[in-house]
Amino acid sequence: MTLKVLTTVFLLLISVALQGQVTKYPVTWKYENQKFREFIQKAESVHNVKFFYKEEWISDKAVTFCGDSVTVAQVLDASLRESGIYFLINRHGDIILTSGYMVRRIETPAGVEGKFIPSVILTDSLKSRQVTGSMFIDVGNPSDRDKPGAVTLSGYVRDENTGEPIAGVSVFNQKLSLGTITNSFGFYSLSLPRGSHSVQFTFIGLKEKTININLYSSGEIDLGMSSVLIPLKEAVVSAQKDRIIQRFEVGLENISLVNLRLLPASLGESDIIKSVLSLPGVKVVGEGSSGFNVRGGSADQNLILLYGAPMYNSNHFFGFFSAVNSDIIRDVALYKGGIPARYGGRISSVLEITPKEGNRKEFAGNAGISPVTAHFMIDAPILKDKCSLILTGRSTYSNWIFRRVNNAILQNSMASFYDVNARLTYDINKNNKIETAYYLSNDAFRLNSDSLYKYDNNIVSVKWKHFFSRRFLSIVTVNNSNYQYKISSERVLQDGFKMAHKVNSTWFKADFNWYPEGRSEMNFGADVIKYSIKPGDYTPSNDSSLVIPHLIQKENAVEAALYFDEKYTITPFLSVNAGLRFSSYFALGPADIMLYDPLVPKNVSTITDTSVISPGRVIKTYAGPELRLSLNFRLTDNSSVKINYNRNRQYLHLLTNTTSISPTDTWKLSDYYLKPQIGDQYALGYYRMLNRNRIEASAEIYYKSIRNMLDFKGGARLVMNENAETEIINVRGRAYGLELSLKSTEGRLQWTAGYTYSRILIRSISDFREELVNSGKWFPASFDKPHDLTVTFNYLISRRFSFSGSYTYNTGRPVTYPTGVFRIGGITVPIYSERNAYRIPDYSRLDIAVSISGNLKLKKIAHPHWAFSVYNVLGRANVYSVYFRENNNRIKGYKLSVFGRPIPSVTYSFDF
Amino acid sequence: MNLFKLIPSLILILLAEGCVTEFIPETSDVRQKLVVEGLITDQPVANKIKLSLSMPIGDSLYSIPVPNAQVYVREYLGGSYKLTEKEPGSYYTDPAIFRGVPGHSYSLLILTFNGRYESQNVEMKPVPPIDSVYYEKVFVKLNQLGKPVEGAQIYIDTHDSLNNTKFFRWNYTETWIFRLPYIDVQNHVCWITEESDKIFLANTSYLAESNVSRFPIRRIATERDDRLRERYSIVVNQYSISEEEFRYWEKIQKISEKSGGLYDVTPMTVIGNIQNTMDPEEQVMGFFSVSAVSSRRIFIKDIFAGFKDLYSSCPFDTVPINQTIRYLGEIYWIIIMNYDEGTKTYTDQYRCADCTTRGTTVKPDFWPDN
Repeated sequence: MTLKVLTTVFLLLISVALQGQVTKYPVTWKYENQKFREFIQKAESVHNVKFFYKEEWISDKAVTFCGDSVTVAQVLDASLRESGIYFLINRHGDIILTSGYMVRRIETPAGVEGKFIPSVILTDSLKSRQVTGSMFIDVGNPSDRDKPGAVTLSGYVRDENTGEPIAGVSVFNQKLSLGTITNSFGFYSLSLPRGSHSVQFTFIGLKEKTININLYSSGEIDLGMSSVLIPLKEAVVSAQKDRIIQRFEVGLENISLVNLRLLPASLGESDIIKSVLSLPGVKVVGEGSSGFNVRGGSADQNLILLYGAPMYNSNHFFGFFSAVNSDIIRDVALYKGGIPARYGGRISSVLEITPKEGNRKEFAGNAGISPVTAHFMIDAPILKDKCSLILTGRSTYSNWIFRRVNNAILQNSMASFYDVNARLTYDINKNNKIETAYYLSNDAFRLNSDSLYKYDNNIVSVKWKHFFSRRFLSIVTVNNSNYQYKISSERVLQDGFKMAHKVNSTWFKADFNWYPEGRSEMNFGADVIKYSIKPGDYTPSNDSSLVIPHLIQKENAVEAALYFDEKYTITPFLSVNAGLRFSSYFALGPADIMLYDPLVPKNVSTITDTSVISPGRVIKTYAGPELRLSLNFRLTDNSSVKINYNRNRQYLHLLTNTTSISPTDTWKLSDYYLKPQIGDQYALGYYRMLNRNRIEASAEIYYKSIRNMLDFKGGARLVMNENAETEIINVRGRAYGLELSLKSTEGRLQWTAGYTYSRILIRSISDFREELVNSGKWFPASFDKPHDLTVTFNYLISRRFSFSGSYTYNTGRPVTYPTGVFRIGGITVPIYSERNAYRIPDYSRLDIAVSISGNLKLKKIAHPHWAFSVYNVLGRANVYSVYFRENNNRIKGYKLSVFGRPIPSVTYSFDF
Repeated sequence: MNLFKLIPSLILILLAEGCVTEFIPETSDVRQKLVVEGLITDQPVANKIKLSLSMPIGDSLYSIPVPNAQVYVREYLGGSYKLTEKEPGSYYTDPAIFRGVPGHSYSLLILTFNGRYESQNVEMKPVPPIDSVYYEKVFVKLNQLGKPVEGAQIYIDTHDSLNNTKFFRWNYTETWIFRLPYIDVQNHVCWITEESDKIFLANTSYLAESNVSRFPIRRIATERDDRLRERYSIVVNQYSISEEEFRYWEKIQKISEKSGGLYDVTPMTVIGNIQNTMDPEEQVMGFFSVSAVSSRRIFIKDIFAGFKDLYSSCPFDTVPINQTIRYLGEIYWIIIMNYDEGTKTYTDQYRCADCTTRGTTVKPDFWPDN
């Protein structure tokens, strides 16, 4: 239908000849009882006018008589009104008939040629006129119709319910295979030839929309999109055709709530961040471990942003759950390659959590219970259409669950956690929007000992979005993020101690986005971060404790950066995104810097002098440019190639020498000795739509080199160490890999398949032989897992039942094995092989789930969902860890599997 | 939507247990390494330096001594004393000519066919006496499911009023007496002596005073053995060590515990203070310790409940005294001769008939007579 209309109108427009200004055609002849065709022929012969129509629309029609001395328009109106045929007299005086839809004109005031016409809010026109089918819009000044060159169609896409912009909407012209996607502010800009077009707007979870336009010159259309019915949101997924082809970024992965619901939940908990980790290029060291590794980066090289603020610990419960309640999340974007210039400070990836927009229209909510947690969400408008509040909470209620996990660490321990999110958005007026958000997460556990561990994240954020004009906006963010942990023990009253570590950052950020007319988009801005780290405070926990307070000197620093980034479409087939970020870092006093004998390895006993830096003075400055460059070549209508280069600098590091990062690792700022980590990544990607645009295929290769990574001397003590530099070894890293992915997100059966081959090798750099790990040779890092295969599917059996599954296979992580033992002091001590010389067995797991929605009555009080899932349905005893123990006077190896059997679980939740 | 009602929900979970499977790792590097274990003290006793080779994984853990080496203890800015090999791989000082002096520094030199091994200089630190070693009756839970049983928890208290000792190390030797339940055996009463098989360390550098209190050094449960049945003795030795040695033992402690888990420190071979000066790439295990030592012994003679009779499983049979024992097995031992009843009782298990299978009949010097 759309296509037919388009063709018709398109042909018509092309054949139209330029005519003088005639809008009124008097009917000078006798037309009563005339056949419609005869009437038209007569009109064409009397006036210099041409009619365009399809023969079958009028073949059986007669003219309705409506009096004498009327105009042709009046006659047409009277005759066609009942039959669903509309007409339009265009600027050139030609009369065009349309069937089934009406063409609406926007008149341009005289004398404003060349300027942009005011934009049309399509949703309003939809409501005011119940036009069936699609509609037609004129865009631009018709007198420009014959000017040469392409013009741009641009505008904002917003959510009809919340009024908030939607990022990532595919804007696509099928006929010409031209398209783009909206940026993070919902803005799109599409270059098209003048003429009539049909433009399709699609986004997962939203109703697809098509608009028909007559494009005369550059113009704007803002579009409102509405989400599909709530109870079925997990079921309706529209195709995001061409998204991968259009995108600039190499290595951007996006998961929204809708995708998430398609996957089986682990332990009954849908976890959006965990799902991101199943994407190609992302590794976790083990089942339920904290942290993740992106393209060979270590776990502290990921910038996790919530409300625009960095999260220093993104896990609850040793990583079995992520610290952000999925209820608050709209989508999660992971930049593993082309990191935009507006982000900095971490060298491997940016994981941006976009919170859900509050509902500005009506009260809504959700609550649920899974085997481990209970959670709720309330989404309430405070002022209709202006202000809304989202509140979520989550907590574990079952400590005992983890006693059942056969893991010595988890048994004999208590653990609990909760998190709270609150977000208030307020639209002051059309051009100013403010949002404030608060996040708190808290964990407490006791690990088979007398020591109590507690850690919490706190984020407060205020964001002000201001539109200077439609095409120029700014976002100013101020936020504070705080992470701290405390360990306390009172086994013996006199030795009772508390140990606390804290990292705090205050971030001021101003981002400007400008979409000048034409084919470019500019982003620029600045940010300043003030860091303050309390490395460790060791204090008595009670009055009778003999512990003397031992406070390690605080670390202070300021990181400041300026950036500029431009996206430019050179031709519809070649676009470039070039960005430059200049970051600088100042480590500030007060500090006592130990100076070491340069001829021997740094050690407490080789300190030669101390240099005292007074408060506020700069200890050390590091600065450098970071270039971000992407090129996107469209090879054909459905394939493209992207090239990307990226440099990132990182000034904040996590000191960790365990295989997985742990909540009690300490953060450390770059200082006199510790240089910033620098990562360079080169990536090349090929993207192609297969099987009539039903399957999205991509292949990416990358090479990455990392300087100044951290490694530690054997058995290094990283907590409460005043001289951390004596334990740190400078390491160089190189990572490379190939990521292949196939995605089919249309129809009843949706599936994805991803395969990754990747390596990460590291090498220690030191002047001293005894500091070199594996004698300074390249060796695999502990998260080096070369082969990785992930397949997921979801089959929609009916509107209420769906069946889903996911399969994962990967190479076992490297481990260090003992090669021998010796006895000393009555105990048996292992001698280890070279670092990471062996691997644990490969990992393989299949999960399945069935989800059932309650009946589809719209008027129900609550819409319930049941999810039945089985984790590890094959029951494979995947090896979680390998350890060695003396048994019968022999050292024997043991493989521990945590989830060695299928684990069923049931989750119940409901929307209201 | 204004009705808010929480609906009670049904939870079903059947969490499967994890599992552990045994395996022998296939490793390629099986080169044996020199292991040095040595302690020089200020006591007028023969100090022992023990040389052995490390053992490959999977083999039985019997250490292989390194005989015929030349071992010297050298005093910094002083003389050098050669040690004599009394048994294969064990080299002793002669207390008549060598005794460590607190405040002096010593190093070790070992010459073998493979190289010249030297230790760093280590200063002998004075050590304060142990204030007290004491025990408390406790209930010990042997495993998660089991009922708690009676036992003794032994603690030590110590302090250094001079604040010189920041790093303490202890070990202990325990001795206990036990009897076979049968009177007419050849060896009825024996003593067992065992060395500690753990490393005990304390760091008081964070404390205002060098003070250690209620340091738990030993916990004994009645159900496990007969240590507390009659009389038990423990001697605790206290050493004052350097920070370097403290870090060494701390690392040894860490890596000898379970490793390989996600939250365990990346394992690494722990190298001590000894190096092959002819081949610096060679890894030498062990540590040359030098310390003054102070000791304290206590005895425990108390009433505890819950002993398991280790000899309740002894098979025996009672026959008339002059009957010839017709027994399928060839060897048996008489354990009771009851002349009043005219019977004799025998067993076919030697451990039930001779206490020297577990201990020695030689009464230790320090053992009280009553």
